[in-house]
Amino acid sequence: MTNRVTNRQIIFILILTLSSYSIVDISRAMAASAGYGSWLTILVTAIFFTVIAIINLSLGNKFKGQMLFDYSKHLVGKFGSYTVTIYYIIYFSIIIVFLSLQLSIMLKANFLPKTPKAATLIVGIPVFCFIAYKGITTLARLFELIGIFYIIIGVSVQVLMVTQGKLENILPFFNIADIGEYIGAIKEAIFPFLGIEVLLVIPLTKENGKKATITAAVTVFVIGLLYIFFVESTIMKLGMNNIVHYNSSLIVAIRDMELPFLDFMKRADVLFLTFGFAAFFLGITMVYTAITEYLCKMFTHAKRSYIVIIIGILSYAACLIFDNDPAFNKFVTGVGIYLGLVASAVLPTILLIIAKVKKNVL
Amino acid sequence: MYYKKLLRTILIVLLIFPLAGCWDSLDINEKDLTTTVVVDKIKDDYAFIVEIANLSPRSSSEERRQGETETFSVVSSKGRTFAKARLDLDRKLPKPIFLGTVRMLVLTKDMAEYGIAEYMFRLRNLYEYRKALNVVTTAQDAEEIIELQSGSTVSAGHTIEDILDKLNKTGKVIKSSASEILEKLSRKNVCFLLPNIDIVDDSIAFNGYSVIHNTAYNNFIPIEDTRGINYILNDKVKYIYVVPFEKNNATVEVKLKKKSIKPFFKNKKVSFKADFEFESIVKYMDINHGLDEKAQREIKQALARMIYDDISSAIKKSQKEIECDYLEFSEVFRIGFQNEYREMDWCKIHLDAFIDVKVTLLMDPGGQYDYNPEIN
Repeated sequence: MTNRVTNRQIIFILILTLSSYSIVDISRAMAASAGYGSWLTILVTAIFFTVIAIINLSLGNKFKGQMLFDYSKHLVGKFGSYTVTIYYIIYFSIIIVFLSLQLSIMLKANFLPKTPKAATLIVGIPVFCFIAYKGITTLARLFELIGIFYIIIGVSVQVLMVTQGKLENILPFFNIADIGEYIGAIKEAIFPFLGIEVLLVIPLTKENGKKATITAAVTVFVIGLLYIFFVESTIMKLGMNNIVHYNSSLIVAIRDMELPFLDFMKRADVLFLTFGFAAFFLGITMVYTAITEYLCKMFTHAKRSYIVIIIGILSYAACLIFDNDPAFNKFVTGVGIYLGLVASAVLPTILLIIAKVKKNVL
Repeated sequence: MYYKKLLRTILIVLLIFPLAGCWDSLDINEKDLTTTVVVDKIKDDYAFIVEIANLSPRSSSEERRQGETETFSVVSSKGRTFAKARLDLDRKLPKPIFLGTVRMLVLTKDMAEYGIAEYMFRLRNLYEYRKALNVVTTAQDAEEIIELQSGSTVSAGHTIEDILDKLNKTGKVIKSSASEILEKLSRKNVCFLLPNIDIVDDSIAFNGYSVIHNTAYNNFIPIEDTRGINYILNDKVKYIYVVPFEKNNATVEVKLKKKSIKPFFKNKKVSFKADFEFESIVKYMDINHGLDEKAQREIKQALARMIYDDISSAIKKSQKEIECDYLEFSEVFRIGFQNEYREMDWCKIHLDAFIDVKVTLLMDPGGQYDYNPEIN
């Protein structure tokens, strides 16, 4: 199975993987931590992750046609390569369970209160696994298809939200006395940018070229700008003090909107239900695919279908075990951020430095 | 091959069950669609009065023959707590209640005097409730308001909403959604206005504002005193003034064009500069002698004075009489002086704040009676 993606598909993979879950909660998280200076905190974090995106893609560009598992053997040896890959598998496993649970929690809290989470998961996980089985190329095409609707509808809804919100809810934009608060809130802004590391499973080709690095960097920065727009518009709608009480603040804000000029659709939450959740499904599927790719590389003799089925069964079991476990949630949102930073920033940076030093490996 | 097909079939069947069996799936006819919720406080008890849309006729066969089917039914309940009142309501309703269709939340004066925070926080946690629904108060027996609409094809909730929507388009009322109220209840300075709805001349009507201070009803501002408030809090406000001049009266339409309220903080004193710019057009006069320049000047001066009086008396009422910043100068000051605002007791400081009001009026003498959508 050839794993190839175009640069345009990289844009959608990044946007959907990073933002589809994060946009639901980022407004609350930023309002609670950075307050009126949320935009500044996100902007600083976006610049940092733009650099991280450049590092990740530069690494892929150095080893064309290979994924992390392949080229890390040349850089850190077989043992090092397996260690790094196992780290990514463990990290992605935690993220899979977290995201799958968050999806079921979000559906239950906002749309299907009587439907057990186990039921939504048993429907969702086979779908994730099936797409993961099909591989990155198929998934990338899906990203392209859904992504365009997701962006157009997402931005349109937020523009409408701005017209219905109150500007004073986000003013003043900056207060020098709160600069410490803004910097301290960077920790909260990191989680929405985690996910860049999925690019490490995509082997870049000659066609991608150096342009892939620039594309990814610009995309990550644009995601930062989109976050700022989403956060500010959601706060404008719900208010700085009120928003901190809602976990799925974006969904609450969308449900708070009325579109009186649209006779056929006065409520905007239908839009989010379709394209927002479709994007979230794809975001989760990308992580499933990343694990599948790593495991397939490690166990070359095992059938991809068996690996995918085992991932599905284990993730479903883990979801049932960690459901309603506040310690797991706390672990992911706390320690998980550091694990994510290691996966997206530290390990790729180390590997890139080694690659620069060991020029002869090329 | 056979086993593969079998496995696929079993998988599809297994997937269909949870998909079709979304536990939340319930036919719309199997729910009691609520259009209005009234929350009342009767001595130590909380009471709910809900207006429910009758999708399937509940009237007797005799009434149906005569075409007297009730479009909406009213059910009330009470209990020592909100939870108990709701339980009582559930016992009386034949179908599960659906709150997603509520258009209006009416808080009675007794409830508002007791405090609205608890119910608003309850509303925040009831996922079905749309936070976009409007909230009003009433000094009337709430059941009377709903009963007034019982024979109509339009619910009381929709009627009140339509009245508020219509008035809000010309800035004559401040609409308060549940979401906005929840935000205001979370602020440092809790003081805001809720539209009050009563029965006036046998009709449901907006008749003024209830002042909510520290989460409870504090005072009532009758509709006659609301013009200045609307100029300060609303945009695109439009009013008709009858301006006496010489021995004549000119009927003038006034429209708020723009406004700017700037805060100042010098020597620990808070002050504001409030500039309002209006445009107006003389619609007609009691005696049509035409308008010469002198008459125009006279009308303009008198009208500017009337508008100034409306605004400054609204400010005076807020600062000296009701002693509560429902005009939201706190927000203007907070934006300008965030650090100072955090440290101060705004409720006290606001009382002594100097507010310099300036009214600029542009006047068109009219005389052209062709329909102009820009003006009307």
